[in-house]
Amino acid sequence: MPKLTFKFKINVVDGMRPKQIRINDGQKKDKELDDCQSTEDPNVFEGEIIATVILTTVEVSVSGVGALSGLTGSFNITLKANDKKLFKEDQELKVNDGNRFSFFKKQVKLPQ
Amino acid sequence: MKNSVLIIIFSTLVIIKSLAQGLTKNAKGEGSVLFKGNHLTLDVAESKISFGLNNLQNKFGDNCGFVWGINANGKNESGITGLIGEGTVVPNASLNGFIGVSISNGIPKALNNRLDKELASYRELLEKLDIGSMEDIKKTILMNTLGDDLKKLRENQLKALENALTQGFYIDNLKNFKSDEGTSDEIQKKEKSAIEKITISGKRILANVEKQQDKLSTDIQNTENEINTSNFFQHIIYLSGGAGSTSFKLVPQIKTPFSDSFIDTTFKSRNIGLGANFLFKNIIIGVSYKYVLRNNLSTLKEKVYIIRTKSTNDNQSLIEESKVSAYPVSEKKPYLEIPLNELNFDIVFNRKLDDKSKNLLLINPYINAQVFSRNKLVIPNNLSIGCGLYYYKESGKFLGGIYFELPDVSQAYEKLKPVDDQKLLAPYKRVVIGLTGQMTIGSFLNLF
Repeated sequence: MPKLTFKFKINVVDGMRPKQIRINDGQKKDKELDDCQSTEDPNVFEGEIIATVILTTVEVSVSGVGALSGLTGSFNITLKANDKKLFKEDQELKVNDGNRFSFFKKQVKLPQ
Repeated sequence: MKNSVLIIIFSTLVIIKSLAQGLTKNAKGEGSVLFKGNHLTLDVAESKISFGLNNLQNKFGDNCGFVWGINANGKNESGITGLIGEGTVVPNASLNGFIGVSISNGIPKALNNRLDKELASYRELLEKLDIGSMEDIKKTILMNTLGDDLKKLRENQLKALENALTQGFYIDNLKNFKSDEGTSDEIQKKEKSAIEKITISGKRILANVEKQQDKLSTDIQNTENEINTSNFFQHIIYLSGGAGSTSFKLVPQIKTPFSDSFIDTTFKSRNIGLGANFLFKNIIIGVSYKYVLRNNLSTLKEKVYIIRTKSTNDNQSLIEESKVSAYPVSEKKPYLEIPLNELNFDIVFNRKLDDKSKNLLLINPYINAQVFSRNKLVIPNNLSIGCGLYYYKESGKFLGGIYFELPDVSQAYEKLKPVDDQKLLAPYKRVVIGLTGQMTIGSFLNLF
């Protein structure tokens, strides 16, 4: 069965930098993720991830670093096959006291 | 007129003092904390413009990276200035730069390697499971659709499996199965039974997939969790250097014609040194140590000379007047250029004033010391201490602040004067209060 392609869009604010986004075994991190930085808005990271999906759900993981605790960004993922979003609302990315932000969800239902 | 308009515009934006490549200020200039991002600073009080470029922002969170930055300052007596003309530094201009290394634990190396390995294993497993479970489901379809009367169902289901988004969705969608219209009751019954069997077997196959992928997925999750719970830091170690030039006039003695009394002098300053910035949580510690060539112009008194030229014709006279600013020097008060070393130490606390970090306050205690002066009788070793308070907004391009400084703590400059001329004052009477304002192209949030 062919792998699935997902489109992601991470919005951060000044002082935040995403370091990794993963969907199952598909991942973008560091330089690869930097290359997804929008030329129009350096706080937007957009790209595609190809992942192996067997079940009806996927694992989603997003993480990064931030200058200050409390800085807040967001992200969402779209399944390219049907152009539907995995999350009804953009998911929040908030910098914690250790200057990091992260999101993890084990069973994100794929939209049909 | 154009200059005046520009000055009025700029004066609404900037208060006093300019920024070099440092983020914060002390009474003598910049601090030792580097500002991440490009910036433009305008200083109306000194008709000064400062422009800086660096790649620090791009290295934020990188494990290891080469960092660089340049900063140019320009100043003209007539107002807004060009920085560099025809490849040579214009009067009252300087160019500084730094190169260095940034080290941080955005994704710690050991955990990064572990994550890569786990992810590679996970990918291998998923691909293997994908092929294996696909074959198993196909076999299940074939085994439960034997016979000619289920041939159509068999073909349809194999096609549906191929076209499904995932194997999971294929099995999930079986609950909506309906036989084609016109199918006899007997075949419908057989098809229903076959679909039920395929569903049960398919679910079992996928449960096994889930079980097998769960272990590796949990390992990855644990590694990611370990990364996300480690405190982030960034250290920058850099070599800095720069050169500048300032033009002024000296008056060693009054000569005639008077215009010959003024000697055009150019001071070419230079500096080279080492610095480091340490970021941990909401604190940055900055330290720099430089060799600096300074002059003693600040200890000389500037005077304005007025030269009047009188021309007479019959019973009329014309008086022309020109003003010249210059520094009188003598054997007792010579102009000298003295090498010395400079030590800067800053701590910057970044405090958010609300939960969303929209309004922020920088608190910056600092120490600035001049040490190892090669001529202590002209520029003595001295120490200044101070604290700056700066306010900025998350979206703001402007950083405004105030600093309090006790310059020359030991009053070394004052002690150079004859005892009768010395005015030694209590520290609280000598505290300097200064305002500072900086504009940036980016955002001050990038300073951390």
